[in-house]
Amino acid sequence: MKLYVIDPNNKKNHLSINAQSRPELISAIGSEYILVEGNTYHASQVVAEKSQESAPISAVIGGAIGLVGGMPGVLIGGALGAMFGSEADKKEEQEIVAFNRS
Amino acid sequence: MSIKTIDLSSVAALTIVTLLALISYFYQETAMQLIRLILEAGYLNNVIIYSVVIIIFTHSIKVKNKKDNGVFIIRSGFVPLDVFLSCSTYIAVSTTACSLMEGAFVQQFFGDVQYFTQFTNLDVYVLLGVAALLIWYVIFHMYTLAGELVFNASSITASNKDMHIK
Repeated sequence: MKLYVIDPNNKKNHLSINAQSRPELISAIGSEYILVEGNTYHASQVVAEKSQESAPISAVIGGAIGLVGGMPGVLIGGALGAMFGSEADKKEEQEIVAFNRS
Repeated sequence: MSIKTIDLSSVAALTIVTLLALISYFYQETAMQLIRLILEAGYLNNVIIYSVVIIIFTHSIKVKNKKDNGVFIIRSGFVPLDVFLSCSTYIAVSTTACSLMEGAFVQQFFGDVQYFTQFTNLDVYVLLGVAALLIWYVIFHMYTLAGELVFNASSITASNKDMHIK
């Protein structure tokens, strides 16, 4: 999960901090207002988004490791990798919704 | 009617997995020999160990110092100790998994060396699956950490209401 603010030029500024909710973010920084690249924002302006898609890369890793089991190994490895990656994606989506609702 | 967009990363992943499956089907003998060489010479293990050390050290300097983001296995609060323990854990897991995979793979698909004399076929297949899962776990975590390294983030400090109004 990545946190960002939109600057006055409508550009996303990703933050080098992670928090599960806005209250946690405020507690970590010690203020409701944050300074990012010379601009001050309120914690309510901080938004969470997905950091990276896990399922595709996880499927590729699974498929590559599955090579030890021949063609069935690649297919099983790829499928299992996609499943595990998809679970990681779902968990991240839940965290994003929880942050943006906080 | 909604406009459907193509998920390029999923298509790329599907293509790569299909290519790997086709390669392992048409060039099974060569692929098996190559995998044996990679496992016995320790190439896979070495690549994972170097990646773990480089990624965790760089991550601890670039990301970890700014704010903890919960990707390390062990967190004591003392950064050098966390880095050392996390590196050790990942290296121990990957080294063990590579050794188990090498033994199970050679015994099951070549049979010229017997690593596990008291194990049944099922035991060896399960061993192979567990070793593969452990290697997947380490590589996937390293990929996640590496993703955070290349991603450019702005530093953040506390401000006040007056500054916000400006």
